[in-house]
Amino acid sequence: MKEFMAFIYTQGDHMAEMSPAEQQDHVERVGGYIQSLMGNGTMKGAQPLEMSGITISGTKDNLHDSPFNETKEIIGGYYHLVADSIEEVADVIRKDPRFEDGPWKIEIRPIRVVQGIN
Amino acid sequence: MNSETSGKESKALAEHFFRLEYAKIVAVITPYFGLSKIDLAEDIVQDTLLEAIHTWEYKGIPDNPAAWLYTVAKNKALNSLKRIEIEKKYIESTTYPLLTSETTFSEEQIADDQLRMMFACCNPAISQDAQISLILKTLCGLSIGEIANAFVTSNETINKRLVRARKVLKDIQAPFEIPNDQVLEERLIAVHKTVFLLFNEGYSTSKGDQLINYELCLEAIRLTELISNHPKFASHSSPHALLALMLLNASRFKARMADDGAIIRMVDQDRSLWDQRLIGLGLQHLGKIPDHNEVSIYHILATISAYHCTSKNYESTNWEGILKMYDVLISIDNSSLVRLNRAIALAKVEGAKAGIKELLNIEKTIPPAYHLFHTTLAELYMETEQFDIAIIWFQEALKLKVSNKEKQLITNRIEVCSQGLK
Repeated sequence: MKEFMAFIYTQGDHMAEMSPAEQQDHVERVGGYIQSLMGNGTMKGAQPLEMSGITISGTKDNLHDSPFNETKEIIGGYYHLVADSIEEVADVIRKDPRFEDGPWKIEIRPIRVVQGIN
Repeated sequence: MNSETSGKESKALAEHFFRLEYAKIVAVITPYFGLSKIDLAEDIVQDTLLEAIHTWEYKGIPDNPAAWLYTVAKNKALNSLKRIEIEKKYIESTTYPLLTSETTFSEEQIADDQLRMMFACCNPAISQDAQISLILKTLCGLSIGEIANAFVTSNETINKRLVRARKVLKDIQAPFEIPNDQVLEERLIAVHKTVFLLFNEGYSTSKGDQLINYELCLEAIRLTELISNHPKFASHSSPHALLALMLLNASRFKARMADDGAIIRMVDQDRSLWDQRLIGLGLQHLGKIPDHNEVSIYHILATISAYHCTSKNYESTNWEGILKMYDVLISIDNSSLVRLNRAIALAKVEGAKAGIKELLNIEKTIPPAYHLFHTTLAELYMETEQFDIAIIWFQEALKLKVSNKEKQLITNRIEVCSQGLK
């Protein structure tokens, strides 16, 4: 079994445009999707991220804090997944119901494992 | 890692939860800002729902989702009060209890505030159309797009209508309250009228999406329930009468249209499709109407509707009872529509010829574009087997502005007439 992180990018908050009924539908479908993956063990964790934060950059002697750059694309949450292959994860992600509600981008990255150590 | 969420069953939300809670929270938040800032209250609630989406889709629905929303909305409202620095002025000027983080919203307060909101939306200073739009937006939680769909118009039109209505409320400094006893009856009539229009907007077969339309009917029923359930209106007869009328009419909603969208006349409807639950509720409310000397139009119409709903088939309908009701109704409302409907009942009791005679009597009072007059008359001529005259009247109806569905119905009836002539 391998582990993966899936970063969920949003482009603006198009969910604000939806009516309360549509918003409820979104919560139920996406929530149900996540809960079912949690239930069958495919998902180890999922968290939403605030749309704000700070960035720390530089080198030890010259560190500076800067505001988090709010760009057009922003990571709004992540999934921590377990599967045999990245293809399997991709299949799972393609079924995320959020894609039905507008443009989203989900980036899947295998968690790096050094053989024999982890 | 949020392993505590894994394995936790996600709770399902009640049907229309977001929409109904949206409306309730707008109603309880608005008075803290004043009715003039109703759009700010709406923004806060919209923000709260977004927050819920972002959190709940990942973490599941909390045990008490409504309480979650109220807490978040309250905090957002507090932040907003601070942020725009109206807090100082607010404390000096408000007559309404201060909003603090300790404030709790009781079921009673939520119900009261929704009623206040209803009276505020039905302020006579704004047009009837705007009143309905405002109700749908703030009390029913419909989006501008959904309202535009229901009215078969553009988002822009609805948006303009809402902006204008809110501005009027602000300019006249409309109060956020249930009117005092002197004007209560008068304002209640205005609220009933608007809610009944909303219902008829949904009940009309001529336009829009039937699913959305049915929702509008249910919303009108829900709003009237808010009034009829409120202790303040316990002794009023009109809320129960209106509620009974809408429930009884709504029970026939799904039987009125064929799968292909064609209109089905009451005589041809499959009565097993009538919703017995709604009929039962309607009759229940009809029974709850307190005995008063004054009888409301809604009471009479509800009684007529009840006669229809409780008869096994069209022919065994208590037409004499219905005719009596129309005789009473005509003394309150002598409009062409009422006289037309009375003529139908008369034809059932005294025969088609009597109906035709009555209709020809009132022909001059009927507005020229009113096609139901023509089709009703034609139907009666069909009953007397004067198919050639029936066809003429049907053709007259087709010359008027009728929806495609109605056109189809009339064309079918002409076909039946032609068969009769052979």
